[in-house]
Amino acid sequence: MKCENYREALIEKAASGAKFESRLAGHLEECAQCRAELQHEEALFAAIDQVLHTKVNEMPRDGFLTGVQARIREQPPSSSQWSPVLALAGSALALVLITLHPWTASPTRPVEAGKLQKESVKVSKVAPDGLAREESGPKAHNSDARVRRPQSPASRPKGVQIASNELEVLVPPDEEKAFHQFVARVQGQEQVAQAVASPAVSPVPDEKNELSEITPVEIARLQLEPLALENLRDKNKVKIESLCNVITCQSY
Amino acid sequence: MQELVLIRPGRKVDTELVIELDQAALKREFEGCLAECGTLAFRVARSVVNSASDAEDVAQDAILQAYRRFERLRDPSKFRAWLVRITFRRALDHTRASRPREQRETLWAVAVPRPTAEDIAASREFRRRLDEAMETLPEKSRLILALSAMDGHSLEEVAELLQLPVGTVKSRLHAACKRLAEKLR
Repeated sequence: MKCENYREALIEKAASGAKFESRLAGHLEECAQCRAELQHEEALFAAIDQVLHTKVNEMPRDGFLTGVQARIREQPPSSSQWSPVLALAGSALALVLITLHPWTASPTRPVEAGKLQKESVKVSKVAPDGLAREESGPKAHNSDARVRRPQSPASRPKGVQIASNELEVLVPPDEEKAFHQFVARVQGQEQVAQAVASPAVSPVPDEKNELSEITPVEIARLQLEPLALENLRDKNKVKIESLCNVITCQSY
Repeated sequence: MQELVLIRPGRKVDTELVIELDQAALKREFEGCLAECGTLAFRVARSVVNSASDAEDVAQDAILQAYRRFERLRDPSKFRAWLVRITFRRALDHTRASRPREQRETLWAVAVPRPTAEDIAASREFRRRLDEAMETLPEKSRLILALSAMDGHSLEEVAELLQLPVGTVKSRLHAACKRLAEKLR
């Protein structure tokens, strides 16, 4: 009974290697069984340490890291790529969002829808009599919405630039790859990249060097006119008649 | 007349070339980390898995998994801790998957003569029982036990790896040892 009271203290002593409590030390001096028990506990904890230490400090075989590196080189990192499942889920989500979008689902925004219609309904139609005339209204939009006509400079929205303000560099084809490599490396260094890719571009372009707005080539409306066949017939009639006379004369 | 190609260096180009360069840089960085931590991954796996060859397989898989997710690791200084967690998790999964269904006999119930620490440690039976006892411990305690037993890992380093206070590591280690001993007694 007395020994059992010291059991927890014995285990704690063996586990932590702490100093003896005076009470426990006194008991151990007079109890051989508890001394043996303490030795056993200490041996047990030491064995656990030893086995664990041996196990976790084992070294892998020599070619382990080389093998891992070889496997890494075999495959590209896939984190930046879309997995098929994610791609499918993303497409489905996009489809649902597009379908549920108020502009596409129903005319819940009549003002915007009306504006869009007004802008797109002015189409030209070539009538059977050869005269082009403009129609407006939903009828025209529905019947021949794909007919496109060139915009006049006045109706074209201002600020649409055909030429780009981005820096462009002409390089020989065989140096293109090297140039891309250079740019890609420099992109990591903002200051260098800015100095190289945007050399001395003033924020406000002067009027002389400003890129002029290029208007697209406009093609005039085609008008089909019937040929003046009667005049042609009159001219040719004389020729044909004279030719017939020659043939008739020769046959006689 | 020489042919010229128009390119726009100011624009961020997602060409194959740039992707290749990024991947090459990523590989170099990862291989640098791997040279430091490859053995650590094996050792963590070995602390859970019974055979060395299985531990190598587990460590290799864990390293490859880490490589695939390497881009997502924002703080490179946490690579060691990150790899330890991945490997440990993978090793646990491996052990669970390969665990035999039949129940093993609980041989530690049989009374044995009092052997020395060396006798105990040398016993294959003891190692088997220790492995089984380890499996009953909570995962956090197992990892602390394994990392603490590794050469060159002080309690402070284990605490840093696991992002825990040193006192917590110390108390969990002590409790885990006592619990193991209880199972093996």
